[in-house]
Amino acid sequence: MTRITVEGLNKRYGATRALDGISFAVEEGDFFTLVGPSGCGKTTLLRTIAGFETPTNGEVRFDGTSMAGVPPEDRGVGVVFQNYALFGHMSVAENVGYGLRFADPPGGASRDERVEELLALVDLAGMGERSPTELSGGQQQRVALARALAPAPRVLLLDEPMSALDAGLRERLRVELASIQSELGVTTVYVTHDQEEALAVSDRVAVMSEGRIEQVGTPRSVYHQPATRFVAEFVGDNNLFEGRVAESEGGSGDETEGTSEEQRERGSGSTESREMGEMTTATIEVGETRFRARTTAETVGAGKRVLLCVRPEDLRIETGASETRVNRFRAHVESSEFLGETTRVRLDWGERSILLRTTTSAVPEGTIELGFAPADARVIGG
Amino acid sequence: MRGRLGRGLPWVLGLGAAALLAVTFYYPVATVLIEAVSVAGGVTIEPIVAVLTDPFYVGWLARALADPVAFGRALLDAPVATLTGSLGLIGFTAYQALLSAIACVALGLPGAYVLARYDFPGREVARSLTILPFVMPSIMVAIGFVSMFGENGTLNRILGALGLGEIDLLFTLPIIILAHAFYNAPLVTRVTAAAWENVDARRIESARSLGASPRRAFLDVVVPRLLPAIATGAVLAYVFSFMSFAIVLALGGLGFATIEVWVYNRVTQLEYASAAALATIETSISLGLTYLYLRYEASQEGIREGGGGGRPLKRKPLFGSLTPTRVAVGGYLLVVGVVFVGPIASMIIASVTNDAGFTLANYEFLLTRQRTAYAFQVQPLNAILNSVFFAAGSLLLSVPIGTFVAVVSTRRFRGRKVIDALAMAPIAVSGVVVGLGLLRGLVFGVEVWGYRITVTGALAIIAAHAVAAYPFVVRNLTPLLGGLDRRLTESARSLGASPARAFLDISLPLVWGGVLAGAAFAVAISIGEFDSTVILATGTESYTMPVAVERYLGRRLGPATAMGCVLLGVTSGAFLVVERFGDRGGLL
Repeated sequence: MTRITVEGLNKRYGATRALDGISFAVEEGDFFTLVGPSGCGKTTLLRTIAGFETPTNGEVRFDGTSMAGVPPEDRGVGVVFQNYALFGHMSVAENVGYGLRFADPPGGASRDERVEELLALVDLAGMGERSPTELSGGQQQRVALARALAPAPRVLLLDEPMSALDAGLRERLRVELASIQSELGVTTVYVTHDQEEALAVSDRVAVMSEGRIEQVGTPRSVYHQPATRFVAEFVGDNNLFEGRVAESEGGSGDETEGTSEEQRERGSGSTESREMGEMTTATIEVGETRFRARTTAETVGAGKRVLLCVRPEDLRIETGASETRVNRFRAHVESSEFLGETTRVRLDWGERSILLRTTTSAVPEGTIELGFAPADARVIGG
Repeated sequence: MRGRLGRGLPWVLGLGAAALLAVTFYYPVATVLIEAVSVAGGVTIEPIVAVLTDPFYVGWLARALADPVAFGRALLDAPVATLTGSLGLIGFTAYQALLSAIACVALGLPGAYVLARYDFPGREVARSLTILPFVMPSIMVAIGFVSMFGENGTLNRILGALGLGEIDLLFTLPIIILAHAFYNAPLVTRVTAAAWENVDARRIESARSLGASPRRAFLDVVVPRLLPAIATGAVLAYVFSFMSFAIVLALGGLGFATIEVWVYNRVTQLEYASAAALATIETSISLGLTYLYLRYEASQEGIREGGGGGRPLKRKPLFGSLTPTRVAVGGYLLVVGVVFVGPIASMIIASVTNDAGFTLANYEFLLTRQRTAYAFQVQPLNAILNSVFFAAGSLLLSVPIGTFVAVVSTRRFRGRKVIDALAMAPIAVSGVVVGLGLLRGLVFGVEVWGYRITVTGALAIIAAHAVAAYPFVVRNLTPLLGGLDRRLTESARSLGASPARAFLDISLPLVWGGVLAGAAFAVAISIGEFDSTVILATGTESYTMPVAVERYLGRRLGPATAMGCVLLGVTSGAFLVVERFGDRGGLL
């Protein structure tokens, strides 16, 4: 098992900065995901770890050993590409066995035994003699995984391996992938543009934008405590309000303001944010309206410009006498989309557009009153 | 580490390829250039200036430079006569190339239209055949044209049978231009048809839905796609016709000499200095033209990328009710029959007939002459054996060099374009110039540290053939290698393969068809090569089939046609390999 450390990585193509000061660590056996929109540098970063790209400066280390100048073939990395890159002129077994031409199979097995073992692992036993072109997309993807794993690599690198598959198959395969990964315990770096996929499979997630890492954390912390505006907007739907801190008070806050179920069930998920500092309740002015939000003390000096984020599912439709007394405002329903499990409602609040996700089957109409718990709001320093 | 091929291997291959190119191409051509600018040890541009101010070479341009006023007056009096009356050798070369390029477009465009827009049995075969003239030996094409259009040729027999009298086209400008069209019109057809087939029908449908008439949609959507392809074909036809040698020599004679023929003439007269000056001027022009062409091609790349992937236009059946277009297509096919099928068929027929009717005497001659020939006479079997030997030699050289150059030119690195240009320069330098350089540089010998190193004619010929052939290996392989997903070799690398190993295990098997096609091209080019061989084989035993054909051509048309048919057989074999394994869009 291998620990990957990336330190101060820069990659420039002429004037373009593909990677701009990237540093992070992947712990032994972790499933680590790089997520971001296309062109954010996540694939370049993966290719740099694999050794296909040479960084302009900075370093990749495996277990503390610098990989600078080490060619891909000597790094012990297994790579699965989006298009699988199977060797069309070789059989499935020859594909899986290719890496064993250069390294002895682990555990003293013969080459053929190892190939059989891997094919069984990915549920393709007996398919060895086929040509990769005869296989379905999902099967090809599994051959690519078996091929990458056959020489027992130190590190498994996956570059959007699911994106060519249709939705149902993608979900099934990512469960399989996660279980194979945890079974083998191989340190894995996974690249995807699909934030839902990133949240579903990873131990830890790095959100990237324009060559930089915006935030690294567990899927829960990235979702619930976005560190930057970009993360708040990219990961899941969000309502963002630009505002100013009117006042902030220390202590544990007003109990009567209510805590959401979400906050209670989050539990361990929010440990990282607790470590960030003492919690406080701040009053934030958004236009004429004042909202209260629980946040860390250091983000909210009075008068500071901040961004208030509220998830659409944390917004509630207030009907008459409700438990929440604060953070109420009236908005006008513009349109709604029925999504099955939930309904997504788009509302106008003055100049601003609001997203609301509700599970009630009755679609609200006209002007309604919305509210949210201070603990469900997230404040990002401006 | 097991199974590791030395990391140094690519470097060794690279240096080897570079050294071979330096010895077989750059050094010889450089000696020609140096000879052109040095007189009695000093550097001077006098020989080149002498050529450029001599009316014999530059025609009215010399008059205009010498006496601009008088020339201006003459120009006002009779502009056309003044300009076309005395073109000079260089002017004539450019003029015939221009006419040839126009003829190629005129003859090639309808073919592109038929191939792209009509459906008929054998359409794919016809499309494949457009590559055939390109691998045909130029001297064989010349025999074909003599058999078809010569004094006793097929055309005159048909005209005679119809009671229409005779025409003699041999040693005229039209037959030279027609032969150049035979060579290069299929090229225009090929590139234009490819562009036409890449037009996305949905674009036309969009234009139509926006209110454009069919004619308007054609002008606005199809024509902009075709123009770059036509320009490409026309420029290539111009460059090839500009440097054409065997066809002009055999069909035009010294009366219609181009620069290339005159360089050869100077060499045979042992006047190497003026040959070098002329060769330098020719090479500058052809390199300049090729450079402009490559610049143009590069500027078109972005435009071409947008094509393809779309739905192609629907084809109309060629056979059906008689419409004016179908009649016109029929007329065109008749012209194709006369220009393309006629010469080849005439050559085959001429090889097995004499005045008495069917005979195999011409083929017998190829074998019997062997036993009775005097030492100074051409022995046919020797020519065949030499050709095979040289083809094998140039194959062994050109395939590795070409493969290496293709690999390098598909990598991304600083200075790649320079290496690309240096590696592809041979395609823009005429065979006669390469032959002259090899003769003066290597065969006559070069002094290194007091030792005189000379290379025998046979080795020089192999070098010349390899230089002529390897750009075709490159041209066949580059699109395939460029189209290879780099993630394939990266997968192999991540699994433990060294770069060389990944190339041998993954890339090479996947582009193997291109290697075979390139090898077939190399054989065809070597077998058919005439321009440099005729210089290097002068006065030696190293004559090849094309050289033998040229020597027979004046006196014995029969054996020349028989040997032409042997060449045709070899060429067709190479064509079948190219067709079977080559990447169809790959050539040029």
